[in-house]
Amino acid sequence: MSRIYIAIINALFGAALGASAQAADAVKTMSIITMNDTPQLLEVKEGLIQGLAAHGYTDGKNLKIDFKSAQGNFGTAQQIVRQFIGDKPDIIVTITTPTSQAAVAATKDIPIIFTTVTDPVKSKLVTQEKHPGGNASGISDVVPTELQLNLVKEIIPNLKTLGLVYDPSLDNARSTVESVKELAPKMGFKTLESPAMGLNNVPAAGQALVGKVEAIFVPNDTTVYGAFESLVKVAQDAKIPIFTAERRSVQRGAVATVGFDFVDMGKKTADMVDKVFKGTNPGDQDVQYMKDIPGSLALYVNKASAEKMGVTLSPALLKRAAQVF
Amino acid sequence: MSLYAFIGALETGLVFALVALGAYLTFRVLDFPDLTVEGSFPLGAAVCAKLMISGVDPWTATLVASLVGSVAGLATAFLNLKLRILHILAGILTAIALYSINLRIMDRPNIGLINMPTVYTPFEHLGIPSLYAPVVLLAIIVVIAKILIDLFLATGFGLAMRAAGANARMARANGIRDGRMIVVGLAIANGITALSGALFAQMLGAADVSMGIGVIVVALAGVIGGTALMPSRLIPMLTLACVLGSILYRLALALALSSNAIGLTASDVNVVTAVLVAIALWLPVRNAAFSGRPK
Repeated sequence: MSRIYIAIINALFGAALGASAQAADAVKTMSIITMNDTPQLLEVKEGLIQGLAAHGYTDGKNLKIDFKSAQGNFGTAQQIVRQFIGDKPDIIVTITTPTSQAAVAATKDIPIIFTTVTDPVKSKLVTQEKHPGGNASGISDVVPTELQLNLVKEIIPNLKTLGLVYDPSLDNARSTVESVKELAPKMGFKTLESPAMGLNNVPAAGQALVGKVEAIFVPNDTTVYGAFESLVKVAQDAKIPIFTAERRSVQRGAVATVGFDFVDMGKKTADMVDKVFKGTNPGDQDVQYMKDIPGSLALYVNKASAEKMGVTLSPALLKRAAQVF
Repeated sequence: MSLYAFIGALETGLVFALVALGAYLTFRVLDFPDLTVEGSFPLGAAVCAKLMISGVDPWTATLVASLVGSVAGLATAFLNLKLRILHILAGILTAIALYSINLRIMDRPNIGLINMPTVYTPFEHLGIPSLYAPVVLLAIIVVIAKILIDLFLATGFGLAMRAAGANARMARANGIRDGRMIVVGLAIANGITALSGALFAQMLGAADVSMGIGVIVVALAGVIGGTALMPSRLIPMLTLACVLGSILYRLALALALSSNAIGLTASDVNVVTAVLVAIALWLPVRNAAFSGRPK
């Protein structure tokens, strides 16, 4: 049995020696943590790397990237954050709300840029949006809900009840749903919620709305997007148009959205990271809202899928679209 | 592995050692595979966070959280004993229900606790650097919990509980009400799990409704790994093994996470966990085979 202990101890010391080899000064180090490996979040990471390349930082040359996913496990997230702090990178980039909270709670020294966080103030990541102070700032992915609902009304003029399919355990999705419910009475329609807890429940959540709603709206919800094709199938069979909050889901079968692109969001994150590399602390950078950044919003439509859902898109609308799938 | 990574493994290991102690009580002592903990861990975090942002001091919030966790254990015991639902299903049912209940308690999926006074704050005021404060407090709490469980299992009631777990029919024949043992055992195990959840949320800086994912596997990795590496017949040694097993698991994970250590990447974490648990399960079998004793 003692041989096992010796093996463990050897392994630990071996790792300690390996980690102490530090990179040269000219090379910037960036540690990235995400809570999950969902496609949207990985697009943000890709956009971040592309954006930094545009700023002149090439992965493997003058930039050293350490990317880790907690795979949904909070204990692992906590350990990854501690490990990052020990590695003392030039910057920590946190994707999703919980990993951002873990990092901000754990270090007051290493600069942190967070991204895909819906409400940075309510999640206690910053105390204020303008000039937040401290070592953390970042980008919010709150969606332009009012513009998106206007688009739904434009395409479905006789909208009486809007179905909402979302996972109530996701902070991002929940806050979008709350703002939809707030806007609905003013815009003259009712809402009907259909919660989907976990990927397997997504099709059932869609079926529950059949016959009760004229359209379905999906917020930025990693659970629903994870099983999006199954919801598209339900909607096409029942001829109910689906509207979403970002570009990629339109490509996958939603009718339309006014939204931003997650790769683009990664690039905007890269802009903030670049400023940190050039000497501006996160505390001196205002928290940014993706929907308010000029040029980041665009109209995306899916003509073929719309027809399968019984919707004809007007030529004027198609002309306005940045991209027709 | 840097000092921070080491401390991170230590503190996470200590927090989950509490869940491992609870899992030792249910899985090993009572022979009751209790999956309630996937719900009672975030329940502890949820109750604690909600109370803290409502202005309750962190110690009271933590205490209340663990009491509420015990109630979750009672719910599983009720489903199993009164409604005659299979033990493993009873735990799953309670855990699923707790998911919705936790959302109700918090009123949203996530509550941030950053920059709030926590149970760790007084230790920082004592002059302990903020890096070590959680480790020091958690070590004290885990040692107290371990000793209390040792003492409890040495009482007449504790012995009856062990008898009920080892052989329920024989225990009943000797006048032990084994149902009552399940009630008490599950209440203690889930209380200590919720305590763990409350302490973890304050360390992480947030309570989140998804926090329970994978908790049971991690707890079992501690119990099975620890008792496989330190086989013993003495209860104090076995509870110690659970605590050490939990910490060792986190150290192994930190090793897997420290990039390029042995060619593993972050996405291998789950398979590393599975391999560790499988090795730990296999070790006693191998030892038994080598010494010629039948298992």
